[in-house]
Amino acid sequence: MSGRRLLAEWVLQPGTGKALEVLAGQVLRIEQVEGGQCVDFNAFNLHDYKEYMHCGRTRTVHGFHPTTGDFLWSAPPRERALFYILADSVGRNDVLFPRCSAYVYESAYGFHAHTNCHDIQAEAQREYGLTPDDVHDSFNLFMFTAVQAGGTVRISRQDTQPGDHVELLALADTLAVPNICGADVMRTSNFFLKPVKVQVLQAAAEDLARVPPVPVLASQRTPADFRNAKIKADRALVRDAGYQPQFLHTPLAVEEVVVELDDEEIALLAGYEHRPLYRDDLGAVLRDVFFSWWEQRFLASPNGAPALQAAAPAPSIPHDRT
Amino acid sequence: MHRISVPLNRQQLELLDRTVARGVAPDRVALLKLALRELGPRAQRAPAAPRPEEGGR
Repeated sequence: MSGRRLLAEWVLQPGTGKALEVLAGQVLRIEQVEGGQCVDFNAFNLHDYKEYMHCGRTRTVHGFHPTTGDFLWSAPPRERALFYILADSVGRNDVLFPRCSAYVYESAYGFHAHTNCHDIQAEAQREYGLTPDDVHDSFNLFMFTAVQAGGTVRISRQDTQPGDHVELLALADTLAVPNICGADVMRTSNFFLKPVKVQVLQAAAEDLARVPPVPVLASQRTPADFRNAKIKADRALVRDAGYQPQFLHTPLAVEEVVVELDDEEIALLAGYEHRPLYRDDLGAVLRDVFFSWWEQRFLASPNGAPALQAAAPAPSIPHDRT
Repeated sequence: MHRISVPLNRQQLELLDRTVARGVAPDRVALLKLALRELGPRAQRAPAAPRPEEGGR
């Protein structure tokens, strides 16, 4: 794309990964060299490693296979879009499977040592002072997965070709960590590990223009909002004798709203499809009716961001400190 | 008339009140009845179908 400027380039070799500073407005391009290679990916806020990419949030918003036009979100309570997926020539990425680990290869295959994504990530992240406990669930690029009937999950072989690529536009300053998936005894990378090219580019104006607006909400908290913002630096967990719980809105008082219904309305309520859940508690049935109706009428995006529409009544009460 | 008590916590009431404030209904009770009238006919129970594990064996 015209207007982009190459800032750095690496070819990741099998068994390795690389921690890269990808700043807001830069593009991380991950490209197949030979084809058929899965790439695991971690990402952190470069200025605060406790904010990191969260696969759970991402899959809730975008499904199991995030692709072009989706965001990679950070974990609650930050919940910011860290990356926008600008391009994805294949469209088969995964946020369903965890990273592979040494345990997997020992327990299932009998290896005392084997390349694995957790340990590769940990070694790459060590360059920036992170520890093996800081590795998080990975965004798995070019990983062909599916949920089967009954809820089990499956990895299939992939058919990616040389030149196939994913491009991630950083929306915040990040430490981005791609690694060559270590699974050479699984279908993940078609039973062989291959190199992958990684580039960091300054985004073009048209790249930036493609990012849809993302909500900026009071609930996206930072350490400035935390009751305890100090990062714990020792390992043992010791009770704070002075701790006083301050859970939000507690005790959560309940009030009865009394409604008088005519025969026609009570018949509607009695015939409501979810009534059997509540047996004879018609108040609970009417509560279900109300929130179901509200979802249909006002909830533009049932799973939350990215596009919260103005149709929903805006929150009126600022959040308490976390 | 049938008198129904709907238990709602403060957060749920806040959502009702904000929706009322938008002019959707004049008050909480009217809002609940509006929801029932609008959703109710669309959400009536269908005749019970056999569960997969109950049929075809």
